[in-house]
Amino acid sequence: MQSITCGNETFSKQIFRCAVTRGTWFAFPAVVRRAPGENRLEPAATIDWNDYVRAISSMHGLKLSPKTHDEVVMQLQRIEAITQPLLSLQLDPGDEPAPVFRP
Amino acid sequence: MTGAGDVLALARAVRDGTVRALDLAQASLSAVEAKDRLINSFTAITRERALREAEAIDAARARGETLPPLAGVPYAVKNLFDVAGLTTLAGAKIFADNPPAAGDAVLVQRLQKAGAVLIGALNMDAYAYGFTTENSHYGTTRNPRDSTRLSGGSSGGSGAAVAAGFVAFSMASDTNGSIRVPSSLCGVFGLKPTYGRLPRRGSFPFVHSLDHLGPLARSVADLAQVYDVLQGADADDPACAVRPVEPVLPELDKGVGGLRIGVLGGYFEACADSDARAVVAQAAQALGADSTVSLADADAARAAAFLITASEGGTLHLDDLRRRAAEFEPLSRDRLIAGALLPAAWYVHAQRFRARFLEQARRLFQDYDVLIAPATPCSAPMIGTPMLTLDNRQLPLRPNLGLLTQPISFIGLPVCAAPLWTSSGLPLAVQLIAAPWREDLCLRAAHALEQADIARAPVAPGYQA
Repeated sequence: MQSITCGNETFSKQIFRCAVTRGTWFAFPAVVRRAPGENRLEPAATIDWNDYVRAISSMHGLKLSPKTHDEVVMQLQRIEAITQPLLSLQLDPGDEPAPVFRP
Repeated sequence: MTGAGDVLALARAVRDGTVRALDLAQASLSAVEAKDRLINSFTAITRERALREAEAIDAARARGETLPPLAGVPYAVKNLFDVAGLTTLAGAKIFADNPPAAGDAVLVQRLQKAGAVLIGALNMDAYAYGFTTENSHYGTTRNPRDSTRLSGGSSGGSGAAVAAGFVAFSMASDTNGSIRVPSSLCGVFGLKPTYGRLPRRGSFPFVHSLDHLGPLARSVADLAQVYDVLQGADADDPACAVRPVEPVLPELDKGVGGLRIGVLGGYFEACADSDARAVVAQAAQALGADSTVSLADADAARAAAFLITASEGGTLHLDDLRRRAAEFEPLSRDRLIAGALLPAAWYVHAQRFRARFLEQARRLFQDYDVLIAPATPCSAPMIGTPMLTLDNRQLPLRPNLGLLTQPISFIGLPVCAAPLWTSSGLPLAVQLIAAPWREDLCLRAAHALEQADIARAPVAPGYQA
């Protein structure tokens, strides 16, 4: 089974296992890891989007044809590329989410 | 309708008795019926309602009543607004069999109360997820300035119908640029107010935490008049701020004297072609903006807006994606599924960054009142163009027409898109951006550009009455 390093911990690539580190950050092991000493999300070197889509789409009750599966994988790869400037950005522990946004 | 100033001029003419509201409604309906086949901006025409509303205005005048500010002015709405008796499509085939809306959206109610006359519903990208209004089910909306070119999106119908002079103004939504992109490509003025300023109740959502509603028109005064009518809190919309009506129309003539205006550089310059840079330079010169300002992390803001959009948008449609994915718009379906599957950690990261990015922008507004940036990286591309070229970089066109609008709407800032004109003869708008709740400043800057005859939005050639 493949594994991935998250902070000081190593996780299996089983996608439903998450970790909470110091109460300020959590990782999605198949997808992200914490760079040592940094409070940012850094994409894993290689994300197996095929495995990911197969597992998560099943969890959501989505039945994807092989063609749609491939298209969704391509879309996720595109999103991953576009979001690099964000995911590599360091946040402070005090940066709170703004889910209900009021300027 | 023949040019700038239609909303105010037509309402005045109806009040004065120079023209009947019924004549205006019939002229608008005739224009749509005669020429919309060229651009495909409408998906429904509300003929009976338009005639009924117009007759009611004329009857009120005959009784000697004081007419409301938009009396007899024809308008149309993006087809994600509820209109009583019409099915709310949100650009999507999957909603076509839904029952008709039982009532009007809040903003349509306010416009009716103000005397405006609804002509119909307008085309858009399916689910509002796009910047091109290339809709597989309802057709592509073409640009009235050049029908071989895109009208922009997702409110392409709203931009095209105003540029063609079919209506005096239109209503649209803007999640990532869907008012500002069509304004830029079609050459009309557009206002995206502060997030939470206008109620969204009765409009079909796309991304709850990013959706805005606003008007498009052919002059800044028209835009201001419509916006003033739309303002007001709505206790039933949890995102709508409780703020008093702050009229902007009386503010326009204050000009830009004393305003501190800067040009957004860095990311906003790098993501613009030579035409876009040229219109920004022209606007900057006219407004006396001689300093370039950096808004750090704009690329991350765009990325975060992209991520939030994908995640919330996909999740919104997840149930239908499970049951009837085959009926979805092919250009959107796979993006919606991918968005629904994104890791929660990424979404939370984006929302955490959002609050911080707003603080960065707020600090900028301590030194500046208005910031200028291009609204689109380029003028209207030809329909079917797959790629966008920026500084020798090739980018897919469809997701990247919003490169310059996304970082701004991500933090809910008010923006007026004002159309300038490139050497090729095509329009390309600048964004005039202010601090939250300062729509007045955006509109004053746009009005100054209009007064200088740099920004203008005439009816497209070939569509004049």
